[in-house]
Amino acid sequence: MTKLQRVREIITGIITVLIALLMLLEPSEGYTAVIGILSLVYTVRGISMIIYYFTMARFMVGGRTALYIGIIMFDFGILTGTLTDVPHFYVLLYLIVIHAFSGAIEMMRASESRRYGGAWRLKLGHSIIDIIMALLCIVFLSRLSVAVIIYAIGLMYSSVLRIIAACRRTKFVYIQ
Amino acid sequence: MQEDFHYYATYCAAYLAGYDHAECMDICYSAQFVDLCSATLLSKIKAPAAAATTQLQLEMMDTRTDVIGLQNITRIWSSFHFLPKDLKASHNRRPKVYMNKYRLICGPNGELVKRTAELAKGKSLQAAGIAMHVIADTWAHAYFAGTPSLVINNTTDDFYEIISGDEGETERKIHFRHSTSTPDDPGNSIYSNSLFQRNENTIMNLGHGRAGHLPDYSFIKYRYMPAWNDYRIIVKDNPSDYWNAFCQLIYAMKYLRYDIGEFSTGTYSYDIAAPYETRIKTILGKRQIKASDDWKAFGEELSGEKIEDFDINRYQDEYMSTSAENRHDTFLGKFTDAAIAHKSMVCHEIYSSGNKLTGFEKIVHSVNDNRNGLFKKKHG
Amino acid sequence: MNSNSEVKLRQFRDTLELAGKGYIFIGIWNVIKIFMTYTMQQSLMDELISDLKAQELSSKEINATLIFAFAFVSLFIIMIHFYIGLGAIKYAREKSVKKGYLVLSVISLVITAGLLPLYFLGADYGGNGVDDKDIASILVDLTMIFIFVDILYSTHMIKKHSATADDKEAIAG
Repeated sequence: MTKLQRVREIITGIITVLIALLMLLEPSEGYTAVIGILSLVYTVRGISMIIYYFTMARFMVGGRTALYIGIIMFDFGILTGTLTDVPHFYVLLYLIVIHAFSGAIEMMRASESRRYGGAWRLKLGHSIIDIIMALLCIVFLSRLSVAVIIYAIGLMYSSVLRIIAACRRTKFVYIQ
Repeated sequence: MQEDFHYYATYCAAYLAGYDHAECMDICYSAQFVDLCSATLLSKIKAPAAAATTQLQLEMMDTRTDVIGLQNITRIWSSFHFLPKDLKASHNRRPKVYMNKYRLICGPNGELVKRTAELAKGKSLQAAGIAMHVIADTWAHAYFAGTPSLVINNTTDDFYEIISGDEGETERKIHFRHSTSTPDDPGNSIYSNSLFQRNENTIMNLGHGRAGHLPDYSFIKYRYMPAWNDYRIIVKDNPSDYWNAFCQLIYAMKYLRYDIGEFSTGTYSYDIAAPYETRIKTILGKRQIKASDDWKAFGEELSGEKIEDFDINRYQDEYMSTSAENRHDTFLGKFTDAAIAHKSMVCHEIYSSGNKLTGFEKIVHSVNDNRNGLFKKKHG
Repeated sequence: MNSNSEVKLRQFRDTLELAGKGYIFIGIWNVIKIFMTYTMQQSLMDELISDLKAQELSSKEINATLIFAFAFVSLFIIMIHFYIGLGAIKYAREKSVKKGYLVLSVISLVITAGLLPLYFLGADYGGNGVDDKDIASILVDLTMIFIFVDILYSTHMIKKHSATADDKEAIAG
């Protein structure tokens, strides 16, 4: 990783830890933060996609799809930001699904890494923990307070790992 | 291209250009080594990571595709496997961000091919091998770019193989599957390719992934529609292209041997290859995934010597057991020096054309450059 | 293979197919949006329910009415979008020569374009002015207008270039 990438990873990790703490201490504020971030992310992604269409994709065969996706994403982002009373259930379910999905992806990457002879145990460990956390949250979904605690702990765990990975020494030696 | 062409066919071309068996072995080993010299291998033998000429699947999986990651990917792939054809290409009313990627589209007989040959002249056999790999790949990998880009490297799903028969040419639809573990099936036109990924900068959109290994099979002629060609179809005639590549390699190596004064693009040593044309075209046209055995047999007949199979470990002990100050004289030392010089040259040219996709070229190393001053400029 | 009319034909067929798909996706998104807007904004739902309560309906009847209304509106939207979208896709893929989707496209275009100025109505005319949500909705409506224009133009150009290609074949034959 370069210095810039490390800094970005550390900052992202710290922000995520703060959000997790907020969810634990002030659940309603935490949910609002999540909705706000979701809205911002999708709005920005939608705008990026629209800009991408006008600068790049419109010259590509089949590029019009980028415009449609961008518009829908932007609309979704704005709409999410205006929702005033999203049941916490939906928010938590969304977060759990995202977490489980990223755990599954990490598991596939660990398997591929193993196939090519690379380090895979740590990746697999992370993915298993991600998925277990997501499953536990689903089990306790009816008891929202418990599910929130599990989710927040899981989020803090991933963030700390991210910060640790960013602080690791680089693998390769550059000789000049 | 694959080992069959980069190793064995390059050996044959080198022999026909006038090199002896030992020199041919050094050249063809270096040509093939370009496909294997990754940062992981260099780290293992404690060689400069800047000399990486390829990236392993594993390295690419963990590579971040932010600005810096993309620059690193583009530096390697554009320099060694997808040499840009025309860094000054123009297209009506397209923004710079698009044109930067468009101008990295690979193709034969571009200005950079000439620069590649000129850079290798008067240098080591390893430099010659690297140049031959790069020149050969401009034929196979034409119409794709060595940078992750959906808008350039994507294709539609409609690939058709053009098969010549007694009654002329017929077409057969190519079916793709996304399974790297299952071998391609040329008999039934079933091949693997990479999945469509909407992200512009994902690794899956690097190079010719969407066409699978079709560009690397010498026997196949096919048509398809790339994302960048304004709905025009491209016909890729590999047997013809590989024949031209072979003859151009002979021409390039005669230039490197000072048998030819000036290197001109679009020039081929058809006359030298002519006595073997039928044999070579038979090898190229045979429907097989790898033509190594046929090329090897041809090469051994040409030289009367045995061509050793490629062994990635052959020169590693020599490199690791030599002291740091003497490593430049080892086989891999000469290879890494030449690789760094070639990468510097290509990235410098890309940067000089106003394109920052390979970053700001900082000169790390220069090796006996016969174009004074080329590598002394610093850009930061 | 790469004559001007063949290239244009490919281009317009692809554009028409994408427009059809885009219109279908927007239709599905509109239905999801209605669902999200009414289930995740309690104030809107309360307003609806109080309107229904004013008509002295029981809770069960209110629920049934809401579900039926949502289902009806969704079905209507989906049907229109799929009719136009699938019609365009089939025409682009040469699986149909029917152009019924064009009629509905024109009608939808007129309605969508006609209703656009309503977003900008000030308080004087009973409107609320333009807020953030409206910006996104305007963008979606503009995209739909763009899609309709694309559908109409691409269909026309396909017909034109098909005729040119047929003429060339006839001459060559």
